[in-house]
Amino acid sequence: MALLKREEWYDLARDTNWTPAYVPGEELFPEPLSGAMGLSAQAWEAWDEPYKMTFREYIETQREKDSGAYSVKAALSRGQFFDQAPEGWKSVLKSHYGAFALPEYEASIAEARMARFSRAPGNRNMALFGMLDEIRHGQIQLYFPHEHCPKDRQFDWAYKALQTESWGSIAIRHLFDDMMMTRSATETAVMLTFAVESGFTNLQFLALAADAARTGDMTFSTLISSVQTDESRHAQQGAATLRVLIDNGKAAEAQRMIDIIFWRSWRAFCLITGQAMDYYTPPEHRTRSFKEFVLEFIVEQFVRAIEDLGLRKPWYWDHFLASADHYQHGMHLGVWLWRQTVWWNPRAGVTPAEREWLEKKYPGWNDTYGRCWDVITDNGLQGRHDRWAPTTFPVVCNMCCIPVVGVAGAGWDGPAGPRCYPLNHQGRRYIFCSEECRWIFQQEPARYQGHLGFIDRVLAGIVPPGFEGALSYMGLAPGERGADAEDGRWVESHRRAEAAE
Amino acid sequence: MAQVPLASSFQGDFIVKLVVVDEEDTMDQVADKTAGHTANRTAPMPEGTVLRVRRAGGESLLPRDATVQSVGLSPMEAIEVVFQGREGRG
Repeated sequence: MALLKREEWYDLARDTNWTPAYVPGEELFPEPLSGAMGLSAQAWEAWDEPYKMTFREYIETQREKDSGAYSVKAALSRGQFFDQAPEGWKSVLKSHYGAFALPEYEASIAEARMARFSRAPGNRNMALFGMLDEIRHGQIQLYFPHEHCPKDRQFDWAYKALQTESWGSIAIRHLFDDMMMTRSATETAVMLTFAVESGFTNLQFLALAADAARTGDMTFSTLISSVQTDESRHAQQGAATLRVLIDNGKAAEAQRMIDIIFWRSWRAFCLITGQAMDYYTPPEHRTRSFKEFVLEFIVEQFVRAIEDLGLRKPWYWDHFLASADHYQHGMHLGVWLWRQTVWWNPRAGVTPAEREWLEKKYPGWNDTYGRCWDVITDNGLQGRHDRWAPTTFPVVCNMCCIPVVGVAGAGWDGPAGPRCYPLNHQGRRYIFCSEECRWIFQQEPARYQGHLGFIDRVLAGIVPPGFEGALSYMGLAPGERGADAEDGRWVESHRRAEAAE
Repeated sequence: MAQVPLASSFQGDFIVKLVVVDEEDTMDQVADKTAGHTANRTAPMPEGTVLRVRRAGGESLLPRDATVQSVGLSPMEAIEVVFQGREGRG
């Protein structure tokens, strides 16, 4: 029997829909899961995706992609790269896998919710492929690091991270549970597939792939760029959903969803991608600074996408742009100082040559963060490694769950210095890192108010006392805890520079 | 004696830190406890520096011999520890 040509059946099949007769529509599509937002079935039926695909095409394409990625891995596993890779680069991999592998699986649950509960039949169809994509992403990003586990147990955190109470895990879960696990199909389409996948994941999966290729890690570079090709297909669900919302008088609601998740994602990607690009990637292999990548992938591409839809840049845009000069530096310093609390080995990344690079890319760096690193370096040169250990905890934001950082040194007392944004709500004091995180809380306090951040848990006695108690609470056994990637040897570059002078 | 956790920012530092003080501690003692976590560990503190405490975002320095209880600092209130005579000038 001859197969029909795709164009003979696709438009009929892609948005299969019916008017329920046995149960009311609201029972088939409960509002909290579906998010119809008062729009009619007809309005949702207008949902249309630009990049169309049949199941047969999906299977063929994905099989090719997987053959490509897995065979590159198999070929390169026999090579020397990994054994000879600098420790700092391995930290890029470990932090990546731990932060993203299980959230990919979470995303498959989010896609599955859209596949079942979206009121838009076209979205239900596309989300099925999105769900399969995310299952692929979860599996491949668990499988690839797994081969390194026998040599380095920190790679086990690809699987373990999100099952622990490490502060980083709490932050990642808070973000992804918010956007993926506890939202309607409509909200998830906007927040996950549009705001995060059309903008931020390009930083970690495309821009970083360029650094990876330069560093010689073709396995990782191939992996993350292969993952991102799926992303750019299923991310289109967001724009299609926004189009329906905007065409039916819901632009304000759509704007709010974007404003919420854009900031939340920004803080998280500053932490994970910022340190990878500005400090962990070997300096000779850095294609661009984190800020330069942000300007290209977020500011240019993402803004074009939202303005094409008739939406606005988020209300805090100027602050977001200004913060691209500094959040990542404070977060990196914090991760280095509290390195035992992460599952990778932070690379300081502040040799004299690297500080020159940082000063070039971020004018004023030496007078701000450089002042903190001066103290740390001097202590290292004098053998005062006791002063390299933290003696208390940082204050952590009750929204993003990331420490409250700000510009140091000469910038400390300026508008971007480290400061808290408190809020008293129903008898409890919440602390936020920024006006934006506080604003997000105030949009839906009932949603967030019950969460206990890491410091709340310390103060409530939930975390056992002392640093050892905290590490054990965070699930970090000796052998897993982070250490300086170069065992502090980087300070010798300063000794040599001083001697040369 | 009750303990009071504070969110403390030390002049020149990059981050706000948790500092646990006693309600009978004077501002000098609060400053000292904050300095213990930061001075010459992550931010420089010149020799001979006199440290002063102010409420975060506040202008006026709290009296050195005032206590946590007498100035009414409450749990997780934000304070700043600054160098007398050079407050805020990095």
